[in-house]
Amino acid sequence: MNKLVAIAGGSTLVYAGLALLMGVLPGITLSQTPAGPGVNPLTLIEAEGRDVYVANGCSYCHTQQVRPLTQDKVFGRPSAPGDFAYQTPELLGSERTGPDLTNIGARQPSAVWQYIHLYNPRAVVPESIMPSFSWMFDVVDKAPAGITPVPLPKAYAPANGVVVPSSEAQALLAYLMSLKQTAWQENKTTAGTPPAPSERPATTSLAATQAPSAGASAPTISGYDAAKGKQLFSANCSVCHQETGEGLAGAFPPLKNNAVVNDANPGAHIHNVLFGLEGVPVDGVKYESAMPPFSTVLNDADIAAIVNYERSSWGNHGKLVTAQDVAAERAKGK
Amino acid sequence: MQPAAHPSSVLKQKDLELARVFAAYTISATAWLVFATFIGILLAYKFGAPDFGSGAWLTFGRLRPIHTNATFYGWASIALVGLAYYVAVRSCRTQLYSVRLAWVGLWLFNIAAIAGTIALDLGYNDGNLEYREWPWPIRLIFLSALLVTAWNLVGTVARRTTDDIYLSNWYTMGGVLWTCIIAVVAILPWYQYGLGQVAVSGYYMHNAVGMWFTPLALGIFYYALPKLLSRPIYSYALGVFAFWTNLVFYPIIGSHHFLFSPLPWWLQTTAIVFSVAMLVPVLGGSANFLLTMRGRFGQMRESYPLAFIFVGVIGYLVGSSQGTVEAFRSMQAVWHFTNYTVGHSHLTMYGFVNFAVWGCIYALLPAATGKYPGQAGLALHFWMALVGSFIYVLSLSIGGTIQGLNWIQGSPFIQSVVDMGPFHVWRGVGGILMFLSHVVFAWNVWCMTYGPSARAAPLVPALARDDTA
Amino acid sequence: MEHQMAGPLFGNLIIIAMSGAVTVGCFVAMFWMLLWPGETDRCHPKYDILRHDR
Repeated sequence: MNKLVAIAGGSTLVYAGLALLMGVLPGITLSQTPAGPGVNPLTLIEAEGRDVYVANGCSYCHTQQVRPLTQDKVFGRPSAPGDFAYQTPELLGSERTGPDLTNIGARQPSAVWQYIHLYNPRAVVPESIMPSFSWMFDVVDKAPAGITPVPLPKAYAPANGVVVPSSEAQALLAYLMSLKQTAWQENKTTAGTPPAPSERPATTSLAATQAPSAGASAPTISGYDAAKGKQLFSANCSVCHQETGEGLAGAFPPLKNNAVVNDANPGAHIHNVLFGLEGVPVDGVKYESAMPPFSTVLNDADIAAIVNYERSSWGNHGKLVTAQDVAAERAKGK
Repeated sequence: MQPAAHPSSVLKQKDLELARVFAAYTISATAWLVFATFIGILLAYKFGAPDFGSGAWLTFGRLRPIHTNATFYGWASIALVGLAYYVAVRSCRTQLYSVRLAWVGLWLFNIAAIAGTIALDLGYNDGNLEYREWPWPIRLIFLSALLVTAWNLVGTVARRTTDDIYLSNWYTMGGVLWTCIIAVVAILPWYQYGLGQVAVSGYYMHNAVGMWFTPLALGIFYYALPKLLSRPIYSYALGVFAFWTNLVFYPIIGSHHFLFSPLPWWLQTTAIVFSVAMLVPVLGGSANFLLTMRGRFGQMRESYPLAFIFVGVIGYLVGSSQGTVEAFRSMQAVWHFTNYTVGHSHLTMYGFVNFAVWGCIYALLPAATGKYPGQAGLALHFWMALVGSFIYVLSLSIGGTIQGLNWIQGSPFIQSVVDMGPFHVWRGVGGILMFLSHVVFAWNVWCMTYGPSARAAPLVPALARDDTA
Repeated sequence: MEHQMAGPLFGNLIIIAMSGAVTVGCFVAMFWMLLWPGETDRCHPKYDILRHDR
């Protein structure tokens, strides 16, 4: 009997101690982590949306933690302890089959886009393998007052009637929109802190050095780094404006043959990319959703590369711009 | 216990009861295996055809936890407990403390797994916290099954007629008792807010695997391997040493699942360093098994149970060492969040735990029931499972690395999704082979229990001589 | 180290030194037991398990 007590009892005692030390104690200490500045509890509808998120296992494919690594910068600033104060259940996740959602409310604030994407992700991102959550939407003959029907592309819309978000989808949207990082808290002096994008030295000086020699009135594709422009466009713009530059009728404006994009004066084009656009008709059509600003996410050279890509693709012939042009527009402010 | 030594016609009453318990646990576990891996196939298919089976009940995010939980708590847990009972009774030369408790435990395990599966499909998911997604009342049922099992197992060892407690029982008793603690820590809510819950998740998802499946699988290795070979374990002392080092090192490295997260740095550094120390029980344990088999590897040609156990040992060695490598920050920077991790979890849970369970069931269940599976069924199961899991793990490891490198290069995110395409297909191919092998396994289990026994010669005739005498 | 959450160098070194010593000691013990397993006594439980145990 003594042997049994020593082996079963002894090892269990050791294990209980380790479980306290490595599981419970860190749990107790870290549970008291104070909320970071500007981090607020979820509202009722946002909390409801989180329940929808959990019930359908969104966090098996989407993380909600930004690591202090270069490749994570696209998702926001590195997550800080204070970010998680109201995150119970924690939804940090362990896989990124889809992108991180820590800052999705800021990265993709368009409700229209989110609804189309939830209804069928392939309607806006053809290569997406995310499930369709169409059961969270109702198909009705006529949208009830106060609810805008989701402007689905024809290929994905039901044959009859219009699609409106159910209360589940509305709550989920509210939750997604609540996922916004607050400003970086204290400015630590270590190398890990990412510099603000505008201060970052322009890594691609190609646009700056070559654009003048490309000629002022004859824009050519070779006048800038086309590959980089295409890549940045794919990463930041194509989910709405589409790789074809044609946008989605009724939801997102086309850039192909767009007046601003082909305007000899690139000021408005650069301004829109820097500071976003809301409530302004584009080529005479009014769009429901707002375009997010990119001034805090991309540096001058990157924005110049995107603008130039848009100005020289899909048959567009706009005058090319340089990083200096972007800097000048940025200096003017909103 | 050489099969030839006891004609099945003279099984004593107590032996018959034990055989029934062992068989029932195995059959029940097998049903869960077939179910869980069928869900797995469905999930793999959805990667290529995301619009297939759309609708709340068939959506990916609900099926995925059903797959993982049914595999863990339906299949592997029930199968290992059945084996642990049998090993305890035989190695202690006694009888089950309570046959009734064993049946109660089996019912509780199954009730928990069925209720958990239904709850998840209805959207009752306890916070997407990996491997503890079942709503907490259902996890309480599972905990009660664990407590019943612990009581019964310790009671059985307490009534042993041998002086010593054989090593196997250290591992199996320990595994069940520790897991009771794990389950309690996971359920209590008072220290699980925000970042605190992240720490508990790191502890839980790590320990629920490595302090539950690992010790039970190793424990039955220490019994089945000597029995198959009629040769004692190479170093008993090393087995004891591995027991204690595993106990101390493993629980403190859980936070390596959350490197680069805002968890405190010392928790992360400790986790990394002791991930290296974990090589002691892993290398020592694997070497111990392999040295026990020294000079007898050729017998795998005749004995599939031995072949299954050999693959299990290699899976343990490779999977656990891979875990150590993955724990380094530089490696995590590439592989974390990618499909590489999914490959790793299948290498360990499948290559190690599943093959261990199969090898030991094939070695021990016929000894309990006196019935044997056919050689063709064994071969089919072995090769399909081996080739299938090889394809599965390899494709996800390569694909996961590409995914990680894509991100580092700063490609648009969708590029990593597109590049995974072919590897998702290969994963499906591997998965189908694995699933088919489980169907064959189910047939083999049927043959070993209530179905037609292969009337072939006992599985291990060549191994029955006692070369230590 | 690439980021500020890796903690102070000194603290890391202390943890690595202490746990490193434990690790090395355990490795030595492991190889010792692998090279000289001993356990030749026939009454050792590892032989006992091989006897007909029903």
